[in-house]
Amino acid sequence: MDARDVIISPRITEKAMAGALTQQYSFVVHPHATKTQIRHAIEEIFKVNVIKINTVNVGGKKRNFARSAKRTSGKQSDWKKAIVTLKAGQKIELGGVNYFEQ
Amino acid sequence: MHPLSSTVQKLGPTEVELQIRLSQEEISSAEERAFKKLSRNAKVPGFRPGKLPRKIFEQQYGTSIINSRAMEEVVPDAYRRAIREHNLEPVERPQMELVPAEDGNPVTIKAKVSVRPTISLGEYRGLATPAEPQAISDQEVERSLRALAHERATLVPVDRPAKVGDYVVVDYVGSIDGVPFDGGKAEGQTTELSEDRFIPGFARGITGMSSGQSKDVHAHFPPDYSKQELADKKAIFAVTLHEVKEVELPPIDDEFAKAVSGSESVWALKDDIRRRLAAVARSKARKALGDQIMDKLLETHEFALPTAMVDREIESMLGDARSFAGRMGVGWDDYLNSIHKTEAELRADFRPDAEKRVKGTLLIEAIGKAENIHATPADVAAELQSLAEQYGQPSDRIRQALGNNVLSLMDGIVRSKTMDWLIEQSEVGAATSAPVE
Repeated sequence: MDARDVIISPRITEKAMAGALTQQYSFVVHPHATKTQIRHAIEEIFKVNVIKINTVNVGGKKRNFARSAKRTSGKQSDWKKAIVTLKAGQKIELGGVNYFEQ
Repeated sequence: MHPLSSTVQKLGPTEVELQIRLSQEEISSAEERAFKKLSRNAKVPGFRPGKLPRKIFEQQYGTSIINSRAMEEVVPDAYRRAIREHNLEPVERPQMELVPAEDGNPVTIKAKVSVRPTISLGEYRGLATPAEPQAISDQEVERSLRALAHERATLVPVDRPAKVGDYVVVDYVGSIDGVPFDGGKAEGQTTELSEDRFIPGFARGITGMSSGQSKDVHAHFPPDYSKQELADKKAIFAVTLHEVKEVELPPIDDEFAKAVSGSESVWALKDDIRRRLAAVARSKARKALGDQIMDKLLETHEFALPTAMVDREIESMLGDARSFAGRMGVGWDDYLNSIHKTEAELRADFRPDAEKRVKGTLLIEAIGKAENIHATPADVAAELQSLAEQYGQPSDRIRQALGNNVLSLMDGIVRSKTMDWLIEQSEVGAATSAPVE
């Protein structure tokens, strides 16, 4: 798998930004990606050293649609979150903007 | 707050240009406040409202919105402070222009504004002498009494030829060159027979007729008659007189006095009338005195008038004329046609008067300031009360409706108090017949 297929996008949320203070950066990754794949991908794309990776599979939320007569229900896609801890002193910037820092 | 430096440049006697430099800290602190406010309404997934970091906000919405919001706060504030710093009295909203920072120069505001001219007040005390109060003559009282009697007159049918002053019941059909015209017809109309109530010739033609008689009356529409198609036409009215009624005045006695005003006797009524006439005369004299003072003031003072104020006055006069036309049921264009003027000409006509009014207002305000005349809360309350009575609303409501206009209400109070003060000064000056220093 190509590095850019493994890493789907950075997660830019309050919680993710809080993690950046302790060298932990959060990404949305391919649901089938392994920690090893993620490590290689991150190191390749951002030229940093990864110390630790935590992953978690996030189940998509159930959604009900009540539209005229027909009531259907569905589910948002499942996805995988990876929290990458970088070597001290390193950081990740995207297009010159460090999204993860306040 | 940071001191901000501003400079004033006089463009004319009543116009200045302010250059206000804004410090960087001031702008950035205002931007921070603006951002805090904006972020509360910003919706970005992953962040609670108000918790959005500035960097993300700028990525999403751009920096210009923060900047412009900050300027909205900073600019009026800076303008107000500059006005205070230089002790200017603007008479209108300024024209502002923002000059962005460049080459180390901070952001600058250029504001052009009309200011109150500096007025060097000349003598304004005891400018006019009040006229000797005129005693109310017996004839005047009699005349009002007669007018009162006329209001309560009764009509009594009489059997004699009609004469001027009688009331007559008539049918008439008017025609011009044998053709009846619109509005020239009436049946059983009761009307007072007086020459100035009808077109010339009509009333004169009816005088002398007895009831039951019919006659052709020749009358001539005046050339300036309001209906153009009838103006300057000779008309013949076929008139039938049904009844002649004489005006019978009630006897002026104690009973009459009671009915008219609830007074005890004719004497009391006369006294009452005399008092009322005297009051009217007094207020008239007071007003005349005020006008005299005003004229003198206008004559003896000369200063440049802010064009903005004059223009505003002209606009308000035009507005008055417009609503006047509206009340008459005439369209604005028709009204302009009827006085043979274009709007621009009318504007030019209003100018001298508008200038006079503005000058008067400025003078009065300057005098009020010099004499330390203020509108006290009690004055405002009294004014609100009278407005409340005028509109039949509680004064709290009026206060609310006025909002910021209370300030101009207060200005008005100061003006009328100053005018009163000037009039009093004249009266006092005349009483002691020595110039008041």
